[in-house]
Amino acid sequence: MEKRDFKSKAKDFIFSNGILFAIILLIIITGIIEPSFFAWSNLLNVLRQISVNGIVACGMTVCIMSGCYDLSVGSIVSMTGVFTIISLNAGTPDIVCILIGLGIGLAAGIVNGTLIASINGRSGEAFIITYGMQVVLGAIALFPSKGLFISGDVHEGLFKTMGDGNMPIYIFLAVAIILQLVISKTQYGRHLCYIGNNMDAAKMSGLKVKPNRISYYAISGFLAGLGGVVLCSRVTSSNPTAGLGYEMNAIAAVVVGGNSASGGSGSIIRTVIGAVVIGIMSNALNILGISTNYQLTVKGFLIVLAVALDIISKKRKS
Amino acid sequence: MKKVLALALALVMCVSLAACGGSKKESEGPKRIFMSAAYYTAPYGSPLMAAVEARCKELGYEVQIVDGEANGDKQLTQVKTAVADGFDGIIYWPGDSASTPPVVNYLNESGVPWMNINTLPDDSVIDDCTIVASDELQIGKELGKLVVKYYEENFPGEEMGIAYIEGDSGSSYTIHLTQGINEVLADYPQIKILNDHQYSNFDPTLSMNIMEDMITKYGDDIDLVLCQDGGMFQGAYNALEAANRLGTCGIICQGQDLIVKDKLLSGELYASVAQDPTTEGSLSVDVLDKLIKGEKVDHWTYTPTGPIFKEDVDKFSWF
Repeated sequence: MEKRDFKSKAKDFIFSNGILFAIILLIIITGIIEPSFFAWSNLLNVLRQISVNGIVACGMTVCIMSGCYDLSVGSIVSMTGVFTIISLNAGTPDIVCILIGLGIGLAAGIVNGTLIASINGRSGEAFIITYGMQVVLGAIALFPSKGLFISGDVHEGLFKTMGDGNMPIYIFLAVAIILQLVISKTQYGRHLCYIGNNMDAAKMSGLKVKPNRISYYAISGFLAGLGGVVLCSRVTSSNPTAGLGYEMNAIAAVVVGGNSASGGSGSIIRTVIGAVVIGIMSNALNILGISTNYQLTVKGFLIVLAVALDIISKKRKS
Repeated sequence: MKKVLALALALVMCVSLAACGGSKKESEGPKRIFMSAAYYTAPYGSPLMAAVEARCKELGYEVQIVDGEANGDKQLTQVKTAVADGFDGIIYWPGDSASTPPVVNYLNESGVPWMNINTLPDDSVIDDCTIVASDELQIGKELGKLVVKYYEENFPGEEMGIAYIEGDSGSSYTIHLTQGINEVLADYPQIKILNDHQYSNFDPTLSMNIMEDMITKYGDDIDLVLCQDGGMFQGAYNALEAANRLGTCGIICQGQDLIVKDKLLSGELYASVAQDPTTEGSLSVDVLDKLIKGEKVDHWTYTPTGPIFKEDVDKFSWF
């Protein structure tokens, strides 16, 4: 009996953490083939590379926990970058440029949330509305940039600092810690789970669902705006398609980390793990000299594996 | 009675609308050109389409440009609609070579004057097209020659390692550029491309990440960085700057972006290879104008290319 319990627990553990085992194996193999992989500077490289996706994914986690996706974050990243760099090139003070970027992200998020909450939209409606906003915001990014790549007139100062050295890592970690505390330690976080689990029940129990839902998209939009500012500071430029695909990368980080794709529960820590796993995988495959074509195959397989393990793990528990 | 009246009104409106539509096609207004642009939002597309619009205006054409989203099926639908709508000429900018045969065959059957711009059509139909485009293979060879020139100036008789970042996997542009570079470098075994294919999809951020990883892997073995466009150059440049490798490592790229001009002038970029979207866009309208008038044109009008060094920047337009 005890033996069976141990076996069952071991299986549960493997199914719950299968992705982590796979990535640890990849780390060991890569480290043996290329010792430079274990260099401190490379670890920082990975964290820097995932920082923007990580920031955006933190906001996406909140939306997914509420039972909906936000497909507009990629376009918010693009639009924020374009307006921030244009403001910077016009000689606007750094702090104002950053606030413009964050404000645009927040405003876009509030519009998303208001549209979805006002029609009492579920995951399907949210999917379509945020997809529509993705197209609209992507088009808005094209107007001021005229579709062109814009190089930033970046000098030493607050804006440059945001993407310089390890600052993107610090910003990412600060966002993750604050959001994790909010989700796990406050009433707001508990309400998020209630609404994600059963919106109708939450409404009947007296929760103010609409303002809460607007706030989830506002957080997602704000963090996408922050991601856009960090991104354009990091590459000292912007282009209207810079954020293309960020929504899918963010969703991938949330799911690969082990968060439920259907909402009602979740943790920022898992999202951070998901972002790190994807980042390490890309870095390891780059360092192993594996062509991008194969890398994309591995990345796709990893996402499918994560979802499959999540489903198996849930079935076993139930 | 009300229903009959409503039906009659609807009928009258339909007939009026149809008559309006018909009169526009048959009227003696300005001739109309339709363009299906595969890369509507790409940095290269913006000046190209602006040049098409400007040249059309100069020649007295109305122009409508639509986003083909690099989707062969969508572009086929777009050109079919344009033919049905009675456009006088069509500019077709395909997303990739492989998807071109159905569009090319349809356009040739339609009898509407048309031309192919920028992306080369598939080999199976290339002889059936009028083309305005760079010779992508030639651009690759020009890049290869610049690499050799850099090598001979800086590492004569020694070995030289290159970190090479490519554009988009599967696009004819990326494939032909790499083919051209490899053809030139085949005679120089001392020059070695260190990495296997690394595609950054013309994205500066991805290019920066790839460059950071290559610095970790190859370190001081990288003597030169080679990028397929200005955006990727920006990303690679930032990674080299962060790793304090600027100055110890040369950079060569293709493109006429403003960042390329700036870094050529500052001496941080060794050289670039020209591919001017403004010239290409303008040339395409000139060629189509001749086709509409029934005049003879060359099968392939080449967009000029060649090396750009620091001292040449004033001879080129930048975007």
